[in-house]
Amino acid sequence: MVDVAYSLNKLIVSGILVNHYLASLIRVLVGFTLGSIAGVAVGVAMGYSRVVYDSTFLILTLLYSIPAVAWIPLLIVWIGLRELLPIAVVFLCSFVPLVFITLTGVRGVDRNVINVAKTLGACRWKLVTSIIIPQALPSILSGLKVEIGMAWRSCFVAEMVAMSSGLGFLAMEASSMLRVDVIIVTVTVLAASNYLFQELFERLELMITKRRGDVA
Amino acid sequence: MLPNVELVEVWNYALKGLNFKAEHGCFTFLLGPSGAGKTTALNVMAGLVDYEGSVLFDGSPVDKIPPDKRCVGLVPQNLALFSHMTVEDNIAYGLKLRKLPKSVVKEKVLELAKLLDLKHLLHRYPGALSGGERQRVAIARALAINPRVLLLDEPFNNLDAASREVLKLWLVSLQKALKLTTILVTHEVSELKGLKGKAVVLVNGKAVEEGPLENIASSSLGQNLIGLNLFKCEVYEALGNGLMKASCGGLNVVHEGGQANFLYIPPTEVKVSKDPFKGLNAYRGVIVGVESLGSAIKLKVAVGDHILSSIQANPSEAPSLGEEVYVRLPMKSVRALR
Repeated sequence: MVDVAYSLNKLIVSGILVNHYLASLIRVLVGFTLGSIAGVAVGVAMGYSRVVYDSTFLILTLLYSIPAVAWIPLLIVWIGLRELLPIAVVFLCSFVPLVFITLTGVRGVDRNVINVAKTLGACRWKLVTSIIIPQALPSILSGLKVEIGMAWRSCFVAEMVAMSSGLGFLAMEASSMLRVDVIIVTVTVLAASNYLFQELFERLELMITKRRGDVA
Repeated sequence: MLPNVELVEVWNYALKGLNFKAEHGCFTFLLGPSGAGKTTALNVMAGLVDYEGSVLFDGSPVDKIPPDKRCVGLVPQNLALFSHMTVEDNIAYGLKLRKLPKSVVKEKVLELAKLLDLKHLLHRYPGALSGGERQRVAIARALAINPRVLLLDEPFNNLDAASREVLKLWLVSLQKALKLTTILVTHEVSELKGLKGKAVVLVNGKAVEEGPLENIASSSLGQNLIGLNLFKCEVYEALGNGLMKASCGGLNVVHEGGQANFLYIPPTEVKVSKDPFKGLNAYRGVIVGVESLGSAIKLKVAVGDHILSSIQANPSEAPSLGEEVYVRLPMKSVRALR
């Protein structure tokens, strides 16, 4: 325990941990943001349009069964050992689940709410942006809360396998030097990051549902 | 004066050639049992469901006009308030979509808030409002766009007696102030006490009677509207011994009491069994609805084009949804209404 605390202090003071953490953080944020935006957009389109649903459901269901890290060998060939690789892995692990979570949220929107918005003059675009997405937001936030953890885990694995920076790389390097203390530091930081993001989404979700009076 | 809203031979999954006129600037009440097509009729007027036939606003067909361009104020049964918006934003929604200047939007919202006593609630979310307040917000939101017609679906549902009376007063005063063409749907005639206007009775997607509300409400038909098993009789055949055979939209019912315009069978008298019945008025049907009433259970049975309502005393022995059953309408329970 003392060794771990000592290593943590040393890694922070030297800036090594901060640098590796920032590398992972940027990858997670970029990949997760892009994956979530794309997932929500496709999920809304699938929920709103039968044509989109019919034309994408099968392929997305097949993609859903493939774990994000299973793409790494293929992505190494396609992208190479570049910065884009872990971002693409995080994107893939966020995109597909968010599609299905959003689809469920959109389908849960009260039909009468949509009908009233239509009678008040909402065109398709307005209906989606001002009614459907905000109404589905609690479901989407629940999904983001779960998927952010998966994003961190996938990024960590991608860095272990194919990158020369990031928390995953740091853990792998420590493993080759049998530095258990450093490995424990990296996984602890990973867990703490995951917790902080989940807490953030949890608070956002609570804030929204409380404001709307959905919870006491 | 031209009728403001007119439905001409409207057909769809729930309406079977519905005709009626709602007079300009007056209340029109659509009455009828559950499943009669009342809500569907409102949705047809709003352009929200497909239909054949014609809807006329001030004599002009609006069938090709989409819902967002029909300028109809709709208040659905569950109110469908936008839970992610404040009361102010709910009321302003339709106005903002019309890209009106902010000052105009604000002025209109304040005017409606004053009219419906919502001024102190403008910054609240719908989740923090009482039933009556929510109802008024939904009406204000519908009125904000200056609708050509206001459509209210079961507005008194889920309101206690006091809130119901207050809402009635609001509706009457709004009617006087704005000269609105208002179409109000309800299955409970007694809820309309104190209101005046034209009533149209819908049964199985057709208008079976029209007239002033007070006349309809006091008729035997009005008194029996709460029950579902009300049939319009089309063809009669005398069987002798005082018995009549009535054809009610494909359902042949033998009864006593002479020729009638409608037949009514109280839900408690409708027998439902998994085994075939012998004798007259026995049919085959499918369970399409099961609703628990505590110690009893309410079944909806599809028999041909009709949905029969039956209240069974023993829930444990009740058939399940989708199950094929046998139905019997005891002859002595069939009431002939003229």
